Amino acid sequence: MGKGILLGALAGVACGWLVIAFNMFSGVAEFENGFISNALAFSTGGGLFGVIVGGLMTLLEGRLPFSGTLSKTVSISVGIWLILRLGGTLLSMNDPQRFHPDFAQTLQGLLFAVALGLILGVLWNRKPEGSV
Amino acid sequence: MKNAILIRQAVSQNTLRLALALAGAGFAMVVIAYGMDSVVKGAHDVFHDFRHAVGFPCH
Repeated sequence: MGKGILLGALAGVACGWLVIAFNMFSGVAEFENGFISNALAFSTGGGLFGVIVGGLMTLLEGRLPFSGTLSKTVSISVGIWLILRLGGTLLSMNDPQRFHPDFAQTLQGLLFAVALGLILGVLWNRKPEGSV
Repeated sequence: MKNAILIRQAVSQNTLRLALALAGAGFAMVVIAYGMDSVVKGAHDVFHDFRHAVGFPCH
């Protein structure tokens, strides 16, 4: 249980920072908050997302129809992101003025989910130091 | 037999703890993803940039 949550949190925080760095180049989202505030927010948001993915990986590892760890972590990560994004789409349909969708941001979000799955998969496969 | 029952109880307790942790994290993520100020005051503003950067619609 601890492995999934710990590795998920690590991967999520790393991915949150990766999104900050990536967004500086892509310019997809115009940041309104300062760097320190965003560093905390992206760490918290990414970390939470990672904990969910890592926890679900612990629960579903033996039940998913894939053989590789990377394909399992990426599918869980993208799956959760899609579910949350679907909720966002419903909000957009209900109140399009307030929750207006943005294709470039959506694409960047999908990349975030894929990257999180990949980072978690790599960490998951890593053997502890000293083991044979 | 007794050991098997104890192991099964320990496993189910771990699963329950994990499920509770996931439910809590999931709820927190929903609050962040949709900026639900009515649930956590300030959640909207604090996570505004994160929401945009990871593709969730916002104002």
